[in-house]
Amino acid sequence: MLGKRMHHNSKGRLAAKGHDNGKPASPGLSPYNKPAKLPGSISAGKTRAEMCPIPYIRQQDNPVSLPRLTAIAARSADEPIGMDELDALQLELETLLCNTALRIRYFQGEIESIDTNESKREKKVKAAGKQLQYPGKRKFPDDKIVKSKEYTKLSNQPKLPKFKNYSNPSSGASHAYSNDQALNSDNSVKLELSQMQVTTKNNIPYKFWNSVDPYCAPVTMDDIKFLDSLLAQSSNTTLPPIPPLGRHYSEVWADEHISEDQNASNPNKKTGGTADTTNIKKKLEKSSENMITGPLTQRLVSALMEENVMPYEIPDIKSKNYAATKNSYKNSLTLEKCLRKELVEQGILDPEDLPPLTNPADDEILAEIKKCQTELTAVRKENCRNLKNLIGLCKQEMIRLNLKKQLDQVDLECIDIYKKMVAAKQKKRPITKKEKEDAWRAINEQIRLNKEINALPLTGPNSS
Amino acid sequence: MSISKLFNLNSATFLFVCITDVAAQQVQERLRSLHRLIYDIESERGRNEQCIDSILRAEKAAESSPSTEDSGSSQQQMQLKNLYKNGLTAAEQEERVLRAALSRIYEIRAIKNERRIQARHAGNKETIGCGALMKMLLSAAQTLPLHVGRVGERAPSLCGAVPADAGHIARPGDAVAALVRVSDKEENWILAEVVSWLPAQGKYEVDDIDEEQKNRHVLSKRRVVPLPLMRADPRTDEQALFPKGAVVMALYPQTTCFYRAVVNRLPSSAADPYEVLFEDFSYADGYSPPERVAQRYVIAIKEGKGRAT
Repeated sequence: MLGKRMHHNSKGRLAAKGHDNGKPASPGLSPYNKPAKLPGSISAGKTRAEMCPIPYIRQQDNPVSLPRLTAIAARSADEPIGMDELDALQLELETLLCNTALRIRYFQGEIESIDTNESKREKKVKAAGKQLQYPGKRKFPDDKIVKSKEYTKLSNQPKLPKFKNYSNPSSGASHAYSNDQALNSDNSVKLELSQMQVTTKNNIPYKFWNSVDPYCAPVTMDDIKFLDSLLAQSSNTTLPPIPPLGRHYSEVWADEHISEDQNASNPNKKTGGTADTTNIKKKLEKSSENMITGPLTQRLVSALMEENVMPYEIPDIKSKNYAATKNSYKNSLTLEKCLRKELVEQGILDPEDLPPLTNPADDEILAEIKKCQTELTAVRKENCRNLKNLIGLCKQEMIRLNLKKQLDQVDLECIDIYKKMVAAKQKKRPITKKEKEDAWRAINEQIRLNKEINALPLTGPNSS
Repeated sequence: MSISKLFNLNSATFLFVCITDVAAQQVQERLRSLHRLIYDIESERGRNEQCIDSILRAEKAAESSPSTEDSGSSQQQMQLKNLYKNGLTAAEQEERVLRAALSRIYEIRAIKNERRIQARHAGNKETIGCGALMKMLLSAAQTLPLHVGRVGERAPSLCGAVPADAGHIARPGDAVAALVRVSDKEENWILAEVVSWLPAQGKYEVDDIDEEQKNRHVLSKRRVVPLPLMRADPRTDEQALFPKGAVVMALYPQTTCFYRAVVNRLPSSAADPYEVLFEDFSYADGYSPPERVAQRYVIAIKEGKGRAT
């Protein structure tokens, strides 16, 4: 990326120079995204307000653009605003609000572009420093020094904005000139537009690299700590125990209904209350039909029931029934057991013929809970395994990073020695034995570290 | 009670008179506050103008006296950044005052609307002629509150083209488009006003906005589309507007019926209407010449229900 940027740089300069006006682009001088204005190039008839790129309605234009607001603001507080003025006033205030909202956006954009330019400059300084470390690329810094000398000579010339360096070389230059033309012509809107386009162009690579950065960052001790804590968390937790079977929901709801109903009906007349309670009792009967009873109990009950029972029940019995059903549900299991015991003892049924005694708690919900729990355990095991694997990889990566750090240092040392040797050659000073030894030691160290790093098993994105 | 006897008023009218009194007081209070806010706005604008002037001066200085040294330009940058920040705070302050002033106006409108609904309940139904009705519809569209989004803020529901939330229930007095049966075969989307919401049936009771049609309709929720409660500002909230080429329902000018139309041009400013082409088979290409319809009367089409003829 760096190389490319420099490449563009030089091309951009050439393109700029080729133009008649011959204004050189000065890298890193003014990140400020305004085209250079030549004094006197502004046509005489134009006021500054028209030139202003900031969305703003001047107060001097008040009578023209905001007549109602101006009139009201000029009045004293004793003269109230009339209702007939509201419509016009609303529109004017809305115009102002739009304008202010746009201005806020404009300022935020400008501040952001200054910030990105600052960070760009910092990066560039760093990049220039880095390039010095690589002998293979030393051509660039040299180039730069020569060029910047040129610029100091041309320092009295107005500078061109920095953004050109990053845009397409030819279009960057043409942008700059179209900007100048726009300045000379009366079209200040066009000018603003082209500026905005260029600014947004500049931000994108930085946004992109910032977003990518965390994924390529070196592994730190903190990462390993975090993974360790995750592992501890997932291996320590035990699944919540399954609570014992509670009361059937229909029962609970019915109870709630009754208590609500009693509360509600107490202060009311009795007739209304009884109608409601019968309603609920009906509901209860329905729910008791669906109640789980053992197979033997069901057989016994069906044998005891006649085919066509007359509906002779009276409310008294019903309410008794209600109490009975409530209890019977709890007792159904014991009843089933008693029946079983009795039937076997009486010799009516053989123990083998009996259906297996099922626990009413063994319903589908319990089965589902158990299924979920086994699934959860499996997932947790898999998680633990993956976490352990990751931690192992991270630790290896740490070793590699350590070696790399050492290698970088040795690399720096090598470059230093190289520079010294070149300098010595230029001055025609013989190289001492100690210097040679140092050089050999550094190179051998370099080779050793490289071998060591290559011998490590591959991990992660830094493995290349 | 004695007063009502004295003036021989029924109790509903008496109540209405009392409400009117309270409402008038509330409106006066808002108007006074609005007046104070307008003074504030002017002083805020003065401050903003100063900020902008200093920014322009600094920009000019930065351009006309270029310094080749990095540090010099960086210093200028920092100076400019500070100026921009000042400008930003001033602009934000101005925005606050402007929003406060506008909300006073919206409150006054809400109070007036409330009073109108109460008056209607009390039986004092104002009768409006056709011309006056059209005028009223136009001004209602023009004075619909404007939504100017803050940076990064998304337009709320029922602002511009943003549809209502799934559970939205229109309030009494809200304007809606309602699909009513005109004759045995024909159904029309008409402009109507909600009278009440009947939660038990999931239906609205709506009145035709056109007074001459005296029918009150009870319609299921599907057949009632609330109109936007806010306009969207095209320059800050363009995403809350229908895009060009969108098929919409739009109120045909000088009528109170919605018909299918295609958006031809978006509003260029907050006060600007859409330009739409109505589906009309009497024209060779199937579309009417461009008509201008305010944001309030352009709504999303309801699939399968929009075939108004």
